[in-house]
Amino acid sequence: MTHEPEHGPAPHEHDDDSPRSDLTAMLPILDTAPEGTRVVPRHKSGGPQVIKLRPVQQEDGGYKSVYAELTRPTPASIFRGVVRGTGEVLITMGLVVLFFAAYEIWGKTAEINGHQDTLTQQLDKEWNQPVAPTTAPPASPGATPSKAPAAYPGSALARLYVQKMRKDPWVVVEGVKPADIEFAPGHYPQSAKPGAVGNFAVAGHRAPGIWWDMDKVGAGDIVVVETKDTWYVYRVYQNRIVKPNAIEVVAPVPSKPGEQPKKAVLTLTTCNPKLDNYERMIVHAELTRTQPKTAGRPAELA
Amino acid sequence: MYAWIWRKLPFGVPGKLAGSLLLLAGIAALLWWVVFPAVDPLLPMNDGQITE
Repeated sequence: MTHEPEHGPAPHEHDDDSPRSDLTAMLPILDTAPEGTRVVPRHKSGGPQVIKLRPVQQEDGGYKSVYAELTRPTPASIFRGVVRGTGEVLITMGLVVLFFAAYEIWGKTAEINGHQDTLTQQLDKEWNQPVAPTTAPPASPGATPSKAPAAYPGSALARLYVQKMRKDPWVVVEGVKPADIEFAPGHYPQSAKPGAVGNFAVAGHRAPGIWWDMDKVGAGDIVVVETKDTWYVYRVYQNRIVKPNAIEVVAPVPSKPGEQPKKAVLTLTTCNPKLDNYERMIVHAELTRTQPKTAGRPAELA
Repeated sequence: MYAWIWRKLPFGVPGKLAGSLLLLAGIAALLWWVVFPAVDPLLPMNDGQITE
């Protein structure tokens, strides 16, 4: 306590305090700059210098901001503003389009999968219901026993496995109107029922999540259709590209409209090329065998 | 445009950053869940069916 004033820090403190504050207090700031142009340093170390905003009197008696000369719009500044604004708008539009492309790939797939889950539940529920009401009056032997109570557009119809494209099946709905096939492949209403003699024709989007990889399906590949009580195993015999109006591919005998069908075939139609629609990709398959659901899952399925 | 938005956003730099992120997220959500699903069916590549 008693030693400290004599040694160490005490003289330093004294040096730090008094002379500097005295210096700043005593030295006046010399203001030799003309009116309106004085520069006030923001920091002692220099750095950006800011002119204080204030009005400056003009020769004609009016007032103007100190910054008037710098901020007044000129033809050049207006031009720069227009160019900058246009550039920003164009870049923004480009980003929005890129974002839309991302939506088409990931957002759409998620949406399709969500709807497919709903349809799967719907189908399971329907198939697990007792069949009593529809099959109870099979009195007339001539009438074909229609299993489903007349599928309405958009209702789930069957499950379709094309494992060359995807391991999981798709739920096929009734109808090929844009609203029907937005999230699921759709059955052409005029075409045959699954497994029946004739052409079971199905349309689907060339979207990731539906039939994006249709080009990988070729002759020999297996397509399986699962209905309430039967598995139908088809073998692909052709993959070809046609014009969008080639309705003969969905005729009961593909490419031979008007002919009486003898075989059960399956036709898948989708857009070609990817992300465009000036052609259609068609896959034809032929029924090779059927298997009741009670006999378990067909060996062809992985 | 962006400079103007930046100037209009309140609460200093942190507020401006938070505001920009909020604006960006809002616009992205609006596009992803409202605009894009509405625009998508109008695209030509959605017709997979064969028609006359």
